[in-house]
Amino acid sequence: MMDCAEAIELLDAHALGALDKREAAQVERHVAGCLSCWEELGRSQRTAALLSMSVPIHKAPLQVRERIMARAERDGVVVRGPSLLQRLRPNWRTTAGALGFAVVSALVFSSFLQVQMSNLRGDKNELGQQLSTAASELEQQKQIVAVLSASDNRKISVQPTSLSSQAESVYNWSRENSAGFIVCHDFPPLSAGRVYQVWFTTSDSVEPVATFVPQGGGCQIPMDMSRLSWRPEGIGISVEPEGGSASPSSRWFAYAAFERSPEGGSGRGGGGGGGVDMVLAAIGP
Amino acid sequence: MRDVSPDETAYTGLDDEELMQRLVYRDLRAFRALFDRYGNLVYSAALRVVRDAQIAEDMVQEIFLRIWRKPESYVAQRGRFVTWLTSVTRNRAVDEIRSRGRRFRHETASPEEQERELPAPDTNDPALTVELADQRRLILAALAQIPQEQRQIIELAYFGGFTQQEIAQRLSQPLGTVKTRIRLGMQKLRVALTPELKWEER
Repeated sequence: MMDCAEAIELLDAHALGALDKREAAQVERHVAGCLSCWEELGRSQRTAALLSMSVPIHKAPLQVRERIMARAERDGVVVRGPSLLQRLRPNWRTTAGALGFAVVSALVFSSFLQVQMSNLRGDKNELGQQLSTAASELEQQKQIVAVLSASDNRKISVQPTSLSSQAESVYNWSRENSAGFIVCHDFPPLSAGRVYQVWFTTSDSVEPVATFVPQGGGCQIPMDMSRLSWRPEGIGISVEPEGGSASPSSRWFAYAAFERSPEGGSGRGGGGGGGVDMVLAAIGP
Repeated sequence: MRDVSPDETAYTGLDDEELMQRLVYRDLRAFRALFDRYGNLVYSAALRVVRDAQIAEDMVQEIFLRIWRKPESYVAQRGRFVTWLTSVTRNRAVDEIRSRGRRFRHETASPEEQERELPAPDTNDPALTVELADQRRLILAALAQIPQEQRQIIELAYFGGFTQQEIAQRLSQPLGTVKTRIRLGMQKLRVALTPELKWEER
């Protein structure tokens, strides 16, 4: 295991992308467990990033702009699973109202049907298993739609702690429904026997919520919050051994802190059901 | 770059984060405003790495369409939009030359020779916004303070996608020297760029 002195020697080179894979992996492992080296790496990365602005400036050919704009216009209605739900939401709250909700429900249901039809083509002996999986998937989709359509729906981006990570995850929740879900994209694959684990946090405690293994880098994890007896201050994702851990054994892979709503700062939410009481002021329409 | 219609001028007053916010709601004019602000910079950053106009064009398209389709991949708390955008461009471009193999890594041509393969850059920055051009000048001034042998190695790593070992081989220098020069060069750069970096960490 690399120590701080060895890691510090390599942080600048790592920020410049000049380490071979083995060294880069060693640095990443060290930095994952060492806050001061992690911060130092951040400074190196920000310095390196500014280099990109030193390049000789060329005009992009005009046709590039036209091509990009035409493509963007064309796929203005392209949908992409859960993100579609997130994107439609402002519409149904304002103008489209119930119609927007119906559209989403129909989309969710039709994707459900497609999954079922392809499942039915499989081995008949597995039919029972497939139907029960389907039923639980439908339950999950219903919960997700319920969260999205709740009047107190909120969302927050759960950011990877490494600047170089392309992973994205968004946590959506509704206090009224005591439910939420995490959607993720581009999560790196894990080695065998490892899972991602989701946690709620306060300044002095953590509560495991769910574990998952991303499919094709993506995930959609419903979370039941009715059993939480305290208001979380943050949500974190760490990498843990299969089956999950009782407390995080590594640095956060991704983390977000909640901001308290003004009325939710005291007195509410301590008594069991609907324990989550938080508003992210900067996000949401 | 082109004439702007009156409703588009409203977007020029918005900052990057506000434009990105609008992308979440599929605002094509916000997207166009972002492209007009940064299209040339992204193209130039890609071109600096891949050194092929066609590949650079394709990358500009790929990067901007990715932003359009997944605006949430930029998280404002993690730094300024422009720094994120150019880092994404550089990383994507280096992946590209690595996946295309050594043919694209210009093992033999010196940086000066490579420069001549490309069309002449716009020397007076007319292709950048005033603010970007100012920042670029500060960064160039900071780079100019760094000894040439350190700067060369930093640029080979960052823009050439070379590892320390590869740079040592290429320049026929001991690996230890390359490592030291990276460290010293980056330290100096960090000091010289302190005002800019403060901005990043705001």
